[in-house]
Amino acid sequence: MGNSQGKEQSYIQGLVNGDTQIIKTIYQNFAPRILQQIIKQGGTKEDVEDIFQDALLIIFNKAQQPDFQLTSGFYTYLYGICQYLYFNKKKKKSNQVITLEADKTFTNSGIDIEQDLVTIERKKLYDDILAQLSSICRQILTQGAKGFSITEIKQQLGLSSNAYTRLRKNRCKHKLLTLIKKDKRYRELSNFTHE
Amino acid sequence: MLEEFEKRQEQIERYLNGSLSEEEKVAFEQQMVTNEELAEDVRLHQEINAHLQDNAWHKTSAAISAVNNDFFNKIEKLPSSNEDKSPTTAPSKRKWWLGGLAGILLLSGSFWLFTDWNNTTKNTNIVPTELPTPTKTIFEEEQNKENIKNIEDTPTTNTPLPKPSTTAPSTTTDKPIASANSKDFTTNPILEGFIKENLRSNSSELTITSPVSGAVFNKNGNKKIALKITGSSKNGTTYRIFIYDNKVSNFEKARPVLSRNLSVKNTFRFNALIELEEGLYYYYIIDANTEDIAGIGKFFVQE
Repeated sequence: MGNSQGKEQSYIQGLVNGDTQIIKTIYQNFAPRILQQIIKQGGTKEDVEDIFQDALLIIFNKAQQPDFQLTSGFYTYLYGICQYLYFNKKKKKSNQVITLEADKTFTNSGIDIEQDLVTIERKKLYDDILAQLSSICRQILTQGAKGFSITEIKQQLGLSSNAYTRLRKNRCKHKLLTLIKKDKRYRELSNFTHE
Repeated sequence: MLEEFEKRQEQIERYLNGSLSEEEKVAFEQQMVTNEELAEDVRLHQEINAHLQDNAWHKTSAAISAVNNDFFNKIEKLPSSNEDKSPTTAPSKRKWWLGGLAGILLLSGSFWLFTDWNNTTKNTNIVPTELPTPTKTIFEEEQNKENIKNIEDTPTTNTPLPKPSTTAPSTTTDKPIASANSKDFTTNPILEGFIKENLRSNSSELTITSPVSGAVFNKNGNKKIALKITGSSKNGTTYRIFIYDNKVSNFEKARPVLSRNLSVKNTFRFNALIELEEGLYYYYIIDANTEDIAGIGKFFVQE
């Protein structure tokens, strides 16, 4: 029992640490079972590909919260989240309200992932937009966010002058914010309350 | 517009890092209550800053994305949807952080490169007698006449920068700002920064084939030089081309020697007959829609 709990905890820890080996183990041990379940319910491989990834990110996000405790087995927890995401996805696709047994089961389990889902969707949006910026822009913005001064950023990135660095930073930030605000996902996600 | 944005950003940054005075802080918070957009910007600013610093997220999401791709690519012969995958889950777009980490790791190793660059920059503080000679002059360039759109005399329809104070300038001739003395060959740190960045980045949509950066135009006793800029664009869009002298400092308010719009499909040729004094000049091309830098280079004018 203790050994099993230790193993379950190692999955959580592996996700928190971004440990590729443990993440591979999670995929090997659980993805085939979840794939089978979702396909039985009419889903596709592509659905599971998206859902499984998001479910792990949700667990990662949950595990960052200080009061997080895994009260069930890792697979049960993961499966519950995958089911929720699958029905959510189905609901979105069909734009219909559907009542499903598994959805109820999940809601009844007391696990609330609505806010986590919003958090990871926002983070994915920021990553997608940041990926559209040049590498130098991302580096300038990252160093700026860490609180480095213009002079320090200039030195760290080997830029030519403070004036250039300041100008570049402003242009990068302007582009980042413009692209984020233009993205329709931003508006959709803004309808949710912030924690 | 960018200037206004900068002011607002500066104020937000000062608010968030606690450097506003008590009075300023109260006024700013009152403003946030009535100005929803400002409040949204502050929240977005906070959130992005936190996201950029969230190394755990970047590490884990990159690892999950890589394993996810690997795992599902190996699975074949399963029911497949005909519907497009959601763009929000495209893993390739979110792999930049891996590149970013690699970049940071390489950063220390790259300083030699920047050092070399800085040395090069220092060496470009030159006087006319030491000017480099381009290997090929722009007049010798072979051009594909079928694809080239000659944009000579294309009027500027929408430029955010003020025109030089010239008396009734013609569409192809602009008065010089620079005057001939040794300072006119001093490199401009801001524009040199853009050149370096442009050289480091291969993502530009625009390729300038001539003049090579650092080319020399000889006046040979004439007042004007025939400036030709040729190149090609991957997607084709409208660009704005500016010529600056080497003294520009406040870039947003800078007065270019010349500014023109360029509508480019594939290849392009920009021709202008400009009256320029001896000195160092920069051509600076931006995408008119996104305002991103598309190309930049410098050239020297000498007698």
